[in-house]
Order: sequence, then structure tokens, then C-alpha cells
Amino acid sequence: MTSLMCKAPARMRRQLSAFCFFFAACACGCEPSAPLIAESDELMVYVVLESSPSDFAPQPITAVVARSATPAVEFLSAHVFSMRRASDGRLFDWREQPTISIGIGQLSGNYVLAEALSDVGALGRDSLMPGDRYDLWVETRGRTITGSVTLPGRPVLRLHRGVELDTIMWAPVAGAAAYRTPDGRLSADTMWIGNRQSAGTRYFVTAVDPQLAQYLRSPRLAQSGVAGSLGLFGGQVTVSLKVPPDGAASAASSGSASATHLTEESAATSSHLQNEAAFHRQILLSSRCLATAGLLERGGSKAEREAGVKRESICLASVKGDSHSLQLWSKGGVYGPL
Amino acid sequence: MPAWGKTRCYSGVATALLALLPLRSASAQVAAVVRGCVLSARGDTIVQASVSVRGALNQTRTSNDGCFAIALPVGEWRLVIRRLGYRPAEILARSERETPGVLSVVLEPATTELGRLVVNGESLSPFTTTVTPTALRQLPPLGERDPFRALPFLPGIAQPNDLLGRLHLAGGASDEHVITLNGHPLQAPFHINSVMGAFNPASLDRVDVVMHHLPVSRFDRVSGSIDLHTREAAGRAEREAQLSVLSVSGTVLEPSVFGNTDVLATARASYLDAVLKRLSLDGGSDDIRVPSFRDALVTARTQWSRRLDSEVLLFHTQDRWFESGSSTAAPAAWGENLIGVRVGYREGRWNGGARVSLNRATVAQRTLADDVQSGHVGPLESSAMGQRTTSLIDMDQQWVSAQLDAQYQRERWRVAAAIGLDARNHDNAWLGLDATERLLNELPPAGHYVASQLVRNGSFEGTTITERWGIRSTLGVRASAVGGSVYFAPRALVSAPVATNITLSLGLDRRFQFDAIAAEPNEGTLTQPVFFPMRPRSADVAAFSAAWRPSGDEQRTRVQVSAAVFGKRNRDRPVLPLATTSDDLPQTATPVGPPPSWAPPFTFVVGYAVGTTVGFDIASTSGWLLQGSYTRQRSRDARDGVIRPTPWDAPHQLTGLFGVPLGRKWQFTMAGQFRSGPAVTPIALTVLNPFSQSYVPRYIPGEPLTARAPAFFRADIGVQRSWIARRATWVVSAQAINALASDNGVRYDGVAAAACSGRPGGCTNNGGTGGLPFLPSLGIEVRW
Repeated sequence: MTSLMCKAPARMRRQLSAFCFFFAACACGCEPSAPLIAESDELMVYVVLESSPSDFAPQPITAVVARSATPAVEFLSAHVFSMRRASDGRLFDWREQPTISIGIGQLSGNYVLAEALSDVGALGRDSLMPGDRYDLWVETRGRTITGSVTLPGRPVLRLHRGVELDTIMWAPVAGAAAYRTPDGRLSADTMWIGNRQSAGTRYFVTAVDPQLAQYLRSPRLAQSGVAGSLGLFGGQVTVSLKVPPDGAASAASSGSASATHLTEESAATSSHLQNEAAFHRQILLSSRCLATAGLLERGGSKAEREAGVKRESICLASVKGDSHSLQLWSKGGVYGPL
Repeated sequence: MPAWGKTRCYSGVATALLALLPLRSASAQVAAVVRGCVLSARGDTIVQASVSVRGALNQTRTSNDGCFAIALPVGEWRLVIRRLGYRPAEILARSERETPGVLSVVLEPATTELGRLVVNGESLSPFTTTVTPTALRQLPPLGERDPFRALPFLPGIAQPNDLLGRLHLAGGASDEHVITLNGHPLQAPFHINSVMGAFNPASLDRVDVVMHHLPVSRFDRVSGSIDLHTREAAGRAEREAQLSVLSVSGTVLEPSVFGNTDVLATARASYLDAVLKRLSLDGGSDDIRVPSFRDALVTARTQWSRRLDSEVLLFHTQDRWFESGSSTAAPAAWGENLIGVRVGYREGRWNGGARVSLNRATVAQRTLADDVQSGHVGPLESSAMGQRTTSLIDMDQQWVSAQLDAQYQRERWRVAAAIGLDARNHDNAWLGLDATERLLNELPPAGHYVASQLVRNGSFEGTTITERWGIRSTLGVRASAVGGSVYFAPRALVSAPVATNITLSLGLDRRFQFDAIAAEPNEGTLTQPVFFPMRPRSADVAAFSAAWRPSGDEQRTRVQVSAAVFGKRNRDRPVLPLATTSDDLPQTATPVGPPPSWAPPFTFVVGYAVGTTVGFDIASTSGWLLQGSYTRQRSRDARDGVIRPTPWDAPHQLTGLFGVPLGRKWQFTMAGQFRSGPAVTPIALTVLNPFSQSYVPRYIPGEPLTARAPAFFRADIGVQRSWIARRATWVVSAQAINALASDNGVRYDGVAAAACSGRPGGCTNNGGTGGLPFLPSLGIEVRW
């Protein structure tokens, strides 16, 4: 090659050199890229225990034992699939079932928990109790998968019926890392505000254990609460609150424009809400806060406007732990706690 | 190391610069003034024509009356007169101490010059590429004729996709260049969520792109500058009206409105929003989101005397986006306002100027909708089931910029100095996940960023040209003082004509930049909040270019070929840690804790961009046009100790433009763009996510930016007919955008790709979402 270059005319050498230089410059940047969808082959086990209200007709609790043969999922039959209540060691009645496709991309589990105590004495869904701990043991393909979860406590809901807003509050419960609010969001707050709903509407709030909360909050997480495989072992407790008839509300409110109602499911007053007047003020401010932010068209009083509640402000209602705060936030500063 | 410590590093450079002055002063000769006027073949005065001297650095421009005066030593000189749209003229001028007459130069129109997309009209700047509106008219427009949509046809410039008009210059990020209008800085001159630019091409004279060498007097940016220049009066009034699919616009260019004041006024407003809203109200889909935009530009240029001129510029853009499906949401509104004043003074060998720019960009959106589906929400439903959104965007970014510059030039050398300041005050607030989606996904759910920045800068530049070889050398340095630290950016440019038609240029730059956005914006985002990092970003740039213009019969065909090799090392590129993504943010819209003051947790990484570009264009007087460019470039940075491609890295880019006259005043044009897909993060694992009483796949991302999305390809065709009737030029055009209906996804979605690949039988979705379909359009314009 060198001798060829030497014998070539000068002009051709220059052109050849330029070509080689250009080609080298192009080639230097070439590198293979990874495939868009990588192939994988991992064991997975998913179990989410749930305790729900007695008057709510829930779907069966299912579990998954499968192999992640990315991009498809292959269900597996476990050699052993057992779950025990830690307090007394009693077994639950898990049964294998055929899997079905519920919708595009949605699958049912291949194990289902019986609804009630079985003939052989195995426990069913109705035996899942808030505060109890449960242990999981699965053997498949020569691997052992274990896990343990404690169901969180049952929240006690309080409903405030405003003129245009419904506010639900509850006290923090043991074992809960987050709460799923009626709009489906996962939040650490213990208060939720939404549009006023008609009587008979049922609100749901779910206390979520740390393992499930972590899994739901981190979309990139592949494992939580299980050892020996990918997957999830979590628990949650759902409570509901039914909106009472408006007439009853008026009677209970004694003429107040924004009264607080205690429902049959939240009869006990939370210890952290001893000061009912302060709570009532918070609710009023919360309503006004959202109103001034534009959600509602109720205007504040002159005194409120002078206090800095401007139209540009927005409400940060924050109730965490035993402390409640309500902040009106605008570019002019943060006004709060109110 | 204290920033002042850097002064030692460049003391040699400063010494060399200062040395230029006495060396060349000794060669000063007795000078006289050569005067002349430049006219078109029709007898119209030609303003702003450049007048340069072959073999010397002297240059000037014609004023509003089309005349010029240039100081030269006594003797014979060859003057070169250039103006876009005209063939350059070269005349012999005699400089005498008692020169009696005034030269008269007539420029012939060059039909091949303006029609081509790339014009090297400003030959004095070897690394500057120019696009003219005349060329824009040949490109099939994406709804509207848009300079920013034409720039990706130039070598080294990339655009992410059809729905994101932001540009990447020479492998740089989209926030690493500045956009200026007549020298005044702009912040976000885009319409419809950055889909298209906010400029009516009828108001523009040209668009200059500077990437590989940035003069020291320009705004400091690590990747370059896009400079828009407005039209100037050419002796008679010109008017233009356009009707396109999206908008209607009008432009008036009136000379001598108030004495010696020329006025340019242009305005554009969309009407499609009203049509779509009406269709929606009449039973159409409530999901239609209706864009509405308007922009206006006014310039008043006054020639106070032969020495003194001034220009006042007003620029306004405003966008509103109605969410027709929601009754409680206030429309998003954003826009930008600019007031600019510039004064120029010329006296013999001295040129001077002053500029003041007041710019303000705002964004406002308030979405407070609460439509909870209570009573039927299951315990494990997705948050998407809830309709409650609470978001607020309130951004106010103000920028006051001023600069004083002066230049003294002799025949073989020239020095220029400038001082200026940039004072910026940002007050940006946002709240809610929806707000972060509209701005930048990397922002937290609530944040308030209040910051000010003052950058004082000074620059000095010296240029020499050798008498024998014509080698032009420029050495300069820009100093910027920010918060008690001073940063020096030396720059050099050498340009040599190695043959009659071949010019080689070498540029070496160090550049600084003192602002950054948090991450690359996605499609549909509004004006991004700009932050002031604790320390500046900086880059070292080296570029070598060759331009070849073969000699031949320029009356019929003109050919131009250019090639460049560049390398850029970003020494401090501010990036967010890879873990800081919206996925890891808390899933709540009501943050707790202290007031939500937030600044990006920037980390500074080293980045590289290297590339080779080749471009050519051929144009003939008969109307043929063929232009093409190929860019091979890589852009990487080292995050977490691993060198990865940047999200905008596109190794290959190929563009082409072909035009041919069809007869009977019809013209056919075809434009094509091909480029590699961007670097994306692959899906490494598919697991499951509990969803109500079922399970849905959850896709776990793999190593960031190690895969590549499908390539982009789009072919557009158009025909247009122009004719003269009723003393006006009429143009009707019809275009077919994405004529081959290529499936070009605008935002690669690995989840969609994984879901598709896992479906029995497969599907055609390649993971891209929302690509541009086949899109026909019509337009009409009239000029008189």
C-alpha cells in the first residue's frame, strides 16, 4: 500500500489521502447500539393482599408466578405456593387457576385466594385483618421465593361537606406508608379535597403498606418485599365513606354553610383533631384557597384579600402526621401556616 | 482556582493582540476618501451593500441613499461590491487626495443567488452560512414558511423532529446557541409549543448561522448563534400579503416615512384556532387543543446624517392554547416582547455603535380542574383514572442587554473593541405534575426560582491581512465578569485563499455560557425556565473548513461546495444526574415542607462533539436547483463516569433539495431529510404491575442512552406558480408534506415499543408517537 501511494501521482495521492481522512473521520464515530428491547428470563412472584370493607363487593385476590421472558410473560406452575398468618401459622387457601387476558396488555393472576374458610380449614380472604403479618413461601423451578408483609391499620375517615367542596380527612394509621385518595393518586397526605358529590356517592381511601407503596412510587423498581425472585409482596387496607343525604347534612350542620359530618365509619374522633374550631378554620381556608386560585368563583372578603390571598396564589394543603398546615403560595411569598 | 488566576494563562494572547497595533501603525499612509453610489439595473438605490477592498481589510456598507464612502491610501484599489440577490461587482477606484467625483456602480440581479438555500453572501465571514427568504419560498413549508424549518438543510444543523423546532448546532444542546434579531437577543421566539418559529419570512432579509467560529463581540454561547436580519427599504415601497393554512400575514416596507426614516411593519395572526373551535363547538371532538398565535415586528431606521443612523425595533409574539375539552382550565399563554434601539456612527476609519435591548418572556397557565370519579375508583387503579389536576405556571424572564462597540480600520489591519452588560432577572414558578409536563419533565412538582444575573463583558479583536498571500488572521479575546469572577475566552481565525476559487479557514475558540435549561425539552413544552448555574459552562472549539466555488460560466450555472471538520470539547456541561427524572419524584401534587424554592442540582460533565460536514449546491439561471448536505457527527458526554451519547446525538444526517421549472411559470420542488434516530434508553426487563384486579406489564429501563430510535425520513414535494398581474406578483403554492407518509415518531416511547413487540403477531408501531402524517397544504401570497 505504501509503495502504491509512493508511485501514484501527487494529485491522486492528495485525493486518496483526503478520502482516507474523511472515511476515518466517519468510521471513528461508528459504534453498535444496544437493542431497543433486551431479552430477559427472570422468575417473578406478585401477591398483593387486601382487606376491604364488608359492604364492598371486591374482585378476587390473585397472585402471579411467572417467568419474565421479555417481552412476553410466561406463567409458571409452582411446586409449592403457601402463605401463613404469622401470629398462629395457619395456612391460606391459594389455588391455581387458568390465566386469561382481561384487556390489551392486562392479565389475570394464575393463583387465586379463596373467599372464605375452606372445608379443610385453610383461611380465605375474609381472614385478612389489618395489622396482621403474613409470610409467603413459593417453590418453583428449583428456586425458593419468600416474603413477609404486615397489613396496615384501617383509616377512619371524616367528611366535611362544603358548599362546593367535599373534604375527607383521616388520621395516620400504623403500617401505612401512603394513602390512595379517591382520585386514585398515591399520597402521603391525610387529607383530600374534591368537588362536592351527590348524596350516596361512596369515597374510597386505601392505606398502603411500605412495600407496595415503594413499588408503586418507583416505576423502575422490579422487586419489593420478596426474596429469591423479582416481584412484589404487599398489602393494603381499603375503607369507604358514603356521602349522607343533603337533608341530613343540613340538619347536622345547624345552618352552617360548611359543616363537618362524622359518618358511621368514622365515628371515633381522631386524637390529633381535638381542636374542632381549628380544624373548621382549616377547611374554610382550604375552600377559600382553592376558590381564589380559580377553581371556584367564590370571592374572599376584603380582609382576606388584604391578608395577601391573591388570585395568583395557589393552595398547598398539607396534612402529614400530627401536624396540619395550609399554605397559600404565590410568587409574592408563602402565606402560612394559616 | 480563582477565576482571576486565568489571567496569567492568556497574558501572552493579550500581549500579541496589543502588539498588532504599533506594528501596523507604522505602515500608515496618506489616505483619501473614495465615494460612490450603488444602484440596481432599474435605477433603484441598493442599501446595505457591502463594499470591500481586494487585498485589504477596509470595508463599509451603503447607507439609505445607496451611497458609501471609504477611506483608502492614495493609489489604485479594486473595490468589491456585494449584496444578496445581486451578482458581485468589482471596480477599479483611484484614491486621490483631491478626488472630485462619485463612483457609480450598477449591480445586476443574480437569480441563481437567492434561489439557493445556502448563500455565502457575507464572504468576509468564512464560517457564516446564510439563508434567504427567497430560498425559503422554494421549500415546501410545514404549514407556515419558517426559517427555523429551513436551517436543518444546512450542514451541521439538526432538528429533533417535526414537532420540535429547536435546533442543535454542531452537535450542541438546544440551549447552547443564541437567537438574535438585528443584534438584539431573543429568548424563545417560537409558536405552538416550539413547533415553528415566530418570524414572518417576508420581514426578513436573511438568516446568518455562525457555528464554528464565534466573533468575540457576539453573545457568548458554546454552540453558536442564529442571527436574523430584517429587510431594509430599497428606494420604493414594498407590500406583501400571505394566506397559509394556519395564518394570514401582511408586511409593509415603506421608505422615507418620516423624513429619512424607513419603516418595516409586519404582523401575522392565526385563524385556524377559530375554525377548529367552531368545529369543536358544532359537535367536533372536545379533545381538540386549539393553538392560537400572533406576532408583530416594527422597525424604524433613520439616517440622521451620512455618519449617524439609528434603528428602533419592536417585536412581539403571543401564543394561547385553548383546552377546549375543559371548562375550568385557563388557556396557556406565552410570548415574548422586545424593544431594541441601536445607534451607528461612521467617521472615516472609525465605526462605532451602541445597542440597548429590553426583552421579556412570559408564560402563564392555570389549570384547576377537579372531576373526581368518586364511588367507582378501585383500590389499585392508576392515578390516570382521576381527573383532578392542579397546576400553575407563572414565568417571567427579563433580559436587559446593552453594548458599546468601536472599530478602527486601516488597509492591512483592523482593531475592534466592545463593552457590554447583560442583566437578567428570572422569576419562575410552577406547581403540579401537569405544569412540569408542560415545561420540563425534570422539574419537581412545585418550584419557585428567583434569580438575577449580571454579566459584564468586554472584547478586543485584531485582524490583519497579508499583502502577498491574502491570508486573513484574526485574534481576539472576550472577557466576562460574573459575580466577582472573570472568564477569558480567546479566539483565533485564519483564512487563506489557497487557489483562485478555494478558501481554507481555521477557527479556534474558547467559549463560555452563563445560563442553562434543566434538560432538553420535549414536544409540547412551553418556553422553558432558564437557570443560572453556579459556574459557567465552557467549551473549546476547533474547526477547519474548505470552500470551493469552481470557476465557470456564472451567467448560467453556479456551483458551490464546502466541507468542514469540527471538534468541540465541552469542559463544563451542566446536566442533571441521570437519577433525577420524573419517575422518581413523589406521586403527589401537594408537596409538604418548606416553601418550594428550587434550583436544578446541576452536575458538570465533560462532553464531546466531533463532526464532518459536506455541502454542495448548484443553481442555474434557467431555474434548476440542486442542493445537498451530509453531516457525520457524534455528540457524547461523560455522566457517572460513563461516556454516553447525548439525547440529541444523530450520527448521520442527509438532506437534499431539488427544484426544476415545469414551464408556464410553474416550479416543482422536492425536499428530503434523513437522519439517524436519537439515542434512547432501551427496555431491559419486563415485569408486572398490579392494576386493580389484574396485572399489566411494567417495563424496566436499561442502561441510559445505549440504544437508538428508528431513523427519521421525510420527503416533501411542492409546486408553485408565480405571475405578475395588476402590478403585483402573485404566487400560489401547493405542498405535500411527508409525501411518502413515513412513520416518523416524534417522541420515542420504549414502553410502546416493548408492548408492541410482546403482542402476539407483532404490530407496526416502532415506538414513536405522534409523528407527522401525510399533510397537504395550500398557500397564496401577493407582493406589490
